[in-house]
Amino acid sequence: MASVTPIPSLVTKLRGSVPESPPDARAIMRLSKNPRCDRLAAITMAHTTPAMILQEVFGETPKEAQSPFAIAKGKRFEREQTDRDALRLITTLLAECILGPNDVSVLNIELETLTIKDAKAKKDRQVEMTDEILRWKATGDPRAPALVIQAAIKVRLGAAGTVVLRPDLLIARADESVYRPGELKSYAYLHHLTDEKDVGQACGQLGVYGVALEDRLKYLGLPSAIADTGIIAMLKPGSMDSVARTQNIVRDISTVRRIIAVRSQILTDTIHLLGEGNALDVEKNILKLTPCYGGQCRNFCALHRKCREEATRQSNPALLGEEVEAMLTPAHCTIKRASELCAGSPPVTPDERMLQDRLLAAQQQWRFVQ
Amino acid sequence: MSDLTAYARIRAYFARQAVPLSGSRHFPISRRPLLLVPLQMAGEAPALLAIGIGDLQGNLQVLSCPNPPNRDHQYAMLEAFSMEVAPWLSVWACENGDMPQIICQSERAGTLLQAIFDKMHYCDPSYHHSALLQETGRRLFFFNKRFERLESAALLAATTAFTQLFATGQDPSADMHLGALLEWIKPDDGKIFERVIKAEERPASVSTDPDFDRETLAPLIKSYYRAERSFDMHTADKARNALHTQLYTEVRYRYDLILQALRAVQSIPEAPCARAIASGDAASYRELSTYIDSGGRLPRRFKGNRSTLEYLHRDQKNEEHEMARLDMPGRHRAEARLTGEVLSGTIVARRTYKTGRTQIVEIDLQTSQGRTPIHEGNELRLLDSTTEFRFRVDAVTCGVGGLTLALTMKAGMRSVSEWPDVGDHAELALYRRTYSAKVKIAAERLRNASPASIATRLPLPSRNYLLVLKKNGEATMNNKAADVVANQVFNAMVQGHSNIVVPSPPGAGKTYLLEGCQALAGLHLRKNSLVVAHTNTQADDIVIRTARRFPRLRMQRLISHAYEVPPELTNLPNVIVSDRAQTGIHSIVATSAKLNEIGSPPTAAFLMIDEAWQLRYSDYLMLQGLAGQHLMIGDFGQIRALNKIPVRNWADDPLGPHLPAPKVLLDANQALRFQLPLSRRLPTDSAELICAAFYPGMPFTGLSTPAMRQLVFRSSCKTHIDRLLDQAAAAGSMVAITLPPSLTFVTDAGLIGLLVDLVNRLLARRTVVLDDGKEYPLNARHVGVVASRREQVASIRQALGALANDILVDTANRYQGLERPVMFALHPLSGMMRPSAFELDPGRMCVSISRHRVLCLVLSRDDIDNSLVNYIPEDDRYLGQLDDLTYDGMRAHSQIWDHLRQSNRILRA
Repeated sequence: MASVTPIPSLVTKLRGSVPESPPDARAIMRLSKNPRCDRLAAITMAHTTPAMILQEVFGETPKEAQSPFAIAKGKRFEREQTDRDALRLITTLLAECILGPNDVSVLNIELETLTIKDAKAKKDRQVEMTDEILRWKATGDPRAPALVIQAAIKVRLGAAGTVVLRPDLLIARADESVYRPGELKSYAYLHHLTDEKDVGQACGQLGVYGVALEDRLKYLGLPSAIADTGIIAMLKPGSMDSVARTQNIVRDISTVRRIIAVRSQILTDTIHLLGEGNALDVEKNILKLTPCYGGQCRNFCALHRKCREEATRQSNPALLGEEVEAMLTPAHCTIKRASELCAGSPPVTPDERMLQDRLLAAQQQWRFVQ
Repeated sequence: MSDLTAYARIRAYFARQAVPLSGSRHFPISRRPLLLVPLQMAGEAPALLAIGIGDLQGNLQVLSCPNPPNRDHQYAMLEAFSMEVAPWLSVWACENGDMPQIICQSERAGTLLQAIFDKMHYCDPSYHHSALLQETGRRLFFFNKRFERLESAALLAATTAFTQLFATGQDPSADMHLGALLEWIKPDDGKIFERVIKAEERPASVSTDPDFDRETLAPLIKSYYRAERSFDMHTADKARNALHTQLYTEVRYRYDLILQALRAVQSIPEAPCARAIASGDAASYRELSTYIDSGGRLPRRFKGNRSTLEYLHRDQKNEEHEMARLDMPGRHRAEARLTGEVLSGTIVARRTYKTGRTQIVEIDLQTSQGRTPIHEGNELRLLDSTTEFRFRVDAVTCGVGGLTLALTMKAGMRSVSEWPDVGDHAELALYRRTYSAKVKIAAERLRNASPASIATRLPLPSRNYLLVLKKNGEATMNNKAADVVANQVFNAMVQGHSNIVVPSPPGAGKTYLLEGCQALAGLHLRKNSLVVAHTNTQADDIVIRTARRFPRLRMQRLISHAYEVPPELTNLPNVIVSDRAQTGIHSIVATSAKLNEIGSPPTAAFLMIDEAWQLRYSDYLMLQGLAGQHLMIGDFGQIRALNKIPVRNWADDPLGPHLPAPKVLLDANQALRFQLPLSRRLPTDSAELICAAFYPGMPFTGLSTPAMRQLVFRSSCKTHIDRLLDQAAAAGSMVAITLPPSLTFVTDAGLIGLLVDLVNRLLARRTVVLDDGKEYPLNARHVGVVASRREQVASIRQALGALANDILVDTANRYQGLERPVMFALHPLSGMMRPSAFELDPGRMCVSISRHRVLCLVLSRDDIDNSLVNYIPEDDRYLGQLDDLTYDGMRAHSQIWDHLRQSNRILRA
């Protein structure tokens, strides 16, 4: 009789001696920024992070990602918004008509479970409480609060087991049957000058929570329709008040759904590739996984330098950006080969001929404008 | 990125050194720029930790704030900043003064500066009252208004300035780090990559290093806080000085980098067009200064019609600047040569003749360029000529050695010696009307424009206007459901509703309905109408069809004097073609561009807009006052009008001037909506698929079943291609044929080869078309090919050879409104490594697969799923952004491909 390896043990085996860090919303979002990278997917699904791999496997200290000022500011803003039954936040949500005049009930799950000392028991209780609230909401029970702070949603990640995600906020009016995810962001609301990347990132996180909600509702046997918008509550400059804006997150929900569906299966492929008994705690095993290096990796992946070194050794066109990559890849050319073609080396394939024609035309124009 | 930049990057990678992209600089550097280096406290933006104020000579003054979250400290620093920058502001305001210019370290710094200027300008007096601060803020707000403009260099990031002129051997996102970027101008020592990595370790933009924050800044700030709270002024001063020293080092590092970058940038000589930018910025700043001196204030964002005017102004300036850039022989012209937007060649023939009193010159231009987006009917202008010459393109033929263009010019008063002659080298670029008067006209018209009244649904009377129309011409739409809708539209017109919007599926009879509406207005209601189209071809088509259907309707085709009128139009007895509005006319048809460029356009009782989803709200507002009642007919699934300028200012505005006009009216509940219920062009199975993918919330069906429209092959199946055709014809009205997955160039030789084989066999097999009871032999004119890009169109035409004279091969943009019994569509995502917003545009795909009456064959590499799964959406999102076209496209593409696969309609070639 074939033995079936339980999922958590599969994850633990693959991770080896690298410390555990279950994927959170940011980790899942990271995957969606480079969906073709097997290395990143395997590391995430093995419940660890590129930063930990860099530290534990390559022996390098990863650079601190966030300034202590930003962390302190974030914590303070969050506290100001959620303290005193989230008075400030509720006031903002009422003013923006995101909540109705009677929707003032708040439940802070973190506070409710503050007295439980055991981490596992605490987490289980938080998940239970969240499930109960979701049931209330779905059945129209008036006990469902309008605002849930720090809910704990258990999500299934296929072969990678389950993880618990913690949206800052779940928001719903009394007459709505589903919660909308919300994020507290300590960056300032600057009208149309609000940084687009910050907004994009918040939307990405909201998308993860949207999918988490959908998955949990399905698991609980409740209607799984979810809202296609999320709420971003930002800092009102010059105060500790917030400004809330509704944001369309359909695109993010769809991206996360796709990533979870495709990438959660990588675990078994990775074990197959590395061979039984091999784990991600050895450098050569990490290097066996195919990366997909791109310039954007530097913005979210601690391993980007390692991948860049590999790309430089391979003369990978991605080193010069997506556009050059898109230009050279159809002809299966490296940067080195492209340079040879520019120097007049005879093309070997029709695709190389086409590429050479383009490069030589560009070369002629480049010389012309010098 | 262009091919030129790609080549330069490859070259720089091997040279281990940056290479210049151009021999001349197309933007100015002021003689006296203000160099600003803002540093923000992490998490506290837009509060500043420090700001450096410097000049080109190396003089740097650094102001720091030991407690940025403290409002008083922050405003005190900004007040000191105001005093420091005052000399620059007054010099720039002088007549013949220097060009106003602020240069900062990075684009992020530019955005932060805008937030600071905004804060100074709109400083709440209850926070901090300082006349100087607000006055300076008002003047500096000028830079916020100029930042995103292509025709301005007022607020310049050093990284942007450098990368405009030099290419490095790294990817564009690495170029955003000024320190790493400037390593590329140092001489090659064989260690460039190590140097770049080292440089990247030290932040060079607005934030400081998190480790530096924790280890250096945090203890100093803490010590300052503590001392200040305990009134220990000595310790507080000490901490403040220590903090200032640390921040000075950080600012100095960035300032030195800016100076280095500027030295490199200034080593490239300035091009003449840079002078125009400098004088434009200077004039604009002086204008603002005068306005502020007289007590004026610029709003953060304009509202209503002024917002539209700002949009139109930016759009027009952008167009003018793009044209001006091509006038100069430099990088932009070289890039345009590579894309074919500028044609460079030799005149090989010249013919002259006279029509009436007009001297016509025809020339043939031969180029070695293989591709061009220029096509028949385009207007070109001659570059590098002292006299302005404009040519109409009569034909573009593709030969072995390149392209040959037949061009016609009206010589006007220019003497023969000035005409281009045989043997001359000539460069031609697309002529774009920039309507210099448009903004003035818009200002005039929008001044009186008022918001449309809220639509109210009144019970419609039961009068049958189809019967009324029948007396004057064919009236019914040949379908009961469509007739009901048409009659509802007629009733709403008669009832006097101000805005009527008719969204319709492809091939629903939109133009047919428009014809009926014109006839109803002119012949029954005795009111005149003004019909707006987007292109001259569309306008001609409307006139010809309406005039033939309703011979009693007096029509005018309003044209510009240079327009070449098609003969079919001039032969119609009830049509007048003129460049001036005539009296006694029932219906005047013109393009929106024409109506928006003339000062006193004709007015009418009805304004009827065809293909209304291509009309931006800004253009609609200009037309709004020309008639009391408005009717908009269009297809929201088709390609929308392009926005060439950044729309950040308007992204969260549901009345944004960049949005399609009918969408704005419907979303604001300012229009009555009627929907044509079916597509007479598409068979039911295609209609079902297209409806689900591109028209969610607008159900429609096809008029005919696939059984009613078929291809019958008279000759037997002999080849593999024949088998594919047989299978495709039997599978349904939309089928995909795929080649093995592969990443390909835009012009995929394998796919084009397959297309040619399919077309040849389709025509060779004596195919008969059964179309709703009619039966006719298929010939080349019944076949169409649609692709996404002009390069593909050129390659397909070349591969089809003589057949291309009869088969219409064109882009999706130009196929809008057209149909053929059999269509071949090249899938926009086929062979794509990373699809862009262009390829994912749902309108492009919708047009491509909705042009057929009988059969549509979608040709692709079998990797569409892969392209969609691996698609990485852009990170950036505007706050409050309403719609997401790219996502809509992705969803539609997935839906179409999934449906084809599930119904076994993907055939492998």
